[in-house]
Amino acid sequence: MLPLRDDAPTRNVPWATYALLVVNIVVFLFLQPAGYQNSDISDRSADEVDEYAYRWAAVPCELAERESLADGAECTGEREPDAILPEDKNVWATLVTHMFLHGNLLHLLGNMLFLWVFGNYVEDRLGPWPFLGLYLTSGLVAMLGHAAFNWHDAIPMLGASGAIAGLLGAYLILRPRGRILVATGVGGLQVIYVPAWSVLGLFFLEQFFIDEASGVAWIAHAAGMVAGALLALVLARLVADPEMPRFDAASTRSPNWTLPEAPPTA
Amino acid sequence: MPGPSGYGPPPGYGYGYGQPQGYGYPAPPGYGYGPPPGHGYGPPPGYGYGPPPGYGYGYAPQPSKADLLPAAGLGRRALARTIDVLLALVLLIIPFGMIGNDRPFAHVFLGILGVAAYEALFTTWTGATPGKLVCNIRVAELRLTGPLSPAAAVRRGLLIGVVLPIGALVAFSEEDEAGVVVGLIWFAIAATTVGLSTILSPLHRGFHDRLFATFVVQKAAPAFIDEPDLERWTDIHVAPDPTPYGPSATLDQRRRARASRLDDAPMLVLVLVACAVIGTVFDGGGWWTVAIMWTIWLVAFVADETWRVARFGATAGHRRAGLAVVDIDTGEPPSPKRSFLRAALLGLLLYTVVLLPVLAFWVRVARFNRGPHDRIGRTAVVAISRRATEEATHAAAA
Repeated sequence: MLPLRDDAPTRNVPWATYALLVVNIVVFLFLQPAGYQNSDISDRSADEVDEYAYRWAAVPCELAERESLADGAECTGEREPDAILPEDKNVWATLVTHMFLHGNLLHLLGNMLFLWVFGNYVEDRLGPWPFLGLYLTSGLVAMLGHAAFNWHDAIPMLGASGAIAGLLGAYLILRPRGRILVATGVGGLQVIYVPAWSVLGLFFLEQFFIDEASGVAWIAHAAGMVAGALLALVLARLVADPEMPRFDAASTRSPNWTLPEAPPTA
Repeated sequence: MPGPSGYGPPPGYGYGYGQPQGYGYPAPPGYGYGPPPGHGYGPPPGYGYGPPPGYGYGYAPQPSKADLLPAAGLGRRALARTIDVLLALVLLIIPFGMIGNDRPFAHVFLGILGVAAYEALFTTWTGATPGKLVCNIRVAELRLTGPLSPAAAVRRGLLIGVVLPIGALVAFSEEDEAGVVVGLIWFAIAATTVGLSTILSPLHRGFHDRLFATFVVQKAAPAFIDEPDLERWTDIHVAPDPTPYGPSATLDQRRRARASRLDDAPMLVLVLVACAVIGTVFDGGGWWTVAIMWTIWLVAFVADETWRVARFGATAGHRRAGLAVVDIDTGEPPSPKRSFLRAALLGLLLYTVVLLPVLAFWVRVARFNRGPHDRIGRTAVVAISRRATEEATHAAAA
């Protein structure tokens, strides 16, 4: 189920969401090596890609050993054998930088779609600064969660997925009955509004059935989503929201209208 | 006469529709279809664009109202577009050169953004792109023909930026032949669509203008066009007719009703999710899986829709938007048989993606906005709640 939009009206311009979109897209298109956006990678650009990943993406065992691979961190997990390891790497910086990198165009587009659909409302509800805090914290927790289960892994992890999963968790808490327009694969392609709990609940459950071999850091998704949900529980109490009309379940059950009278026949 | 759901009409109900004339509109003889005298169509004597008093019908063919509005001519617009395309190309060459040749997606992104910014910024600041300025034409909003609001300019610019150059950019940046062909085909389709819609529409308003309620005018056009006939040449309002049971629902109300359709039907949501999951997990089954899942979903939807409409005359969506589905003959909720016919056709049209445009178009153009499913079930969707009724009557009067 691919979300396309939600039905929440936007009251304020979502500057933080825009900024995150721009930063992620600009970094991918203009700062990451060109090899990331070319399908046929030459040897030279493949080396560039590997070196870039080992410099800026987060490597679990480097975090565990608190020093970079070039400085002699011992990793038992497999890694790219010929990758050039950057010398002066700051291991802790990668906890933040990995969130703004993407592996390929589809990875970027998928993440930006979810950020746009769900970030928009979460920012509108919490305000830009709590929103940014939630985003970055979720990304951090997601990375640490992934590292905790893959302690000796030497494969670099990158992508905004963990942070964006945090937004999904927050949306699930803040607006579980919000309506999301999704494209589903039932019978080809259909477009239908479904409640947020079904899309987001399915997304959460899906993570536990992801094939390990696919290279998707599913623990990061799940951990990020839980972190976002917990943070949203707290932030929703701290940030008042007087304007938002509350969902009134009673109004769908007891209608305050009656059917009209039939016209007299002439 | 209580309906099957148990709520009959209270005495004295009605918003002024359903008067004793049966189906016709309560109107004095000779009144016709228009608004009351003195409030409406056709300019008052001595006003602006209309033919002068005493012009008469006998002398010459009367020019249509559309010709009298200060829309820009097609020749000028073509020239202006040519100048703009060339200028934008020149401006884009510099950043393209700086990026280098090995970043195809960066090219596409910059191209879209560049064209959108070119359109939006110039239109916001000067009221027109450089090409249009040279040709003495400008972009205006439909009623207040001053400079475009920044929001409208940005939206219009983004649409032009995404639709027009993207095909050319893909063709330019791709290295394999298939990519080039796809890009060129996209470009040809987009250019033809925009071009044809501009040439054929009244006031030469292409899709990009119709979406955002703008049009291209001569530079000397007055700042405020209060031409009452303007609406007839545009599509800002789709005025629904009132049915005998209340004003028929507007397109916007029906869109809102669709959005909250599943609000009180969690079981239906679960069926949909299950179908989607099974369809994804067993994708090895190919078309059989797809067909079976689609059938299961359709049966569930039709059963639910039939029951709700026959029992309550509304789904949660209709209720939230203040609407009801009524039998066109009685004003009551439709019988189970009619409700089933309606639901079956609706499900088929809504959930077979190629048929969706048929439904959307039909509902838009039909009298009372009754789609094919309303025809087959002999039903109509009417505004019931006070707020919805006011909205719908307001839309009809505007």
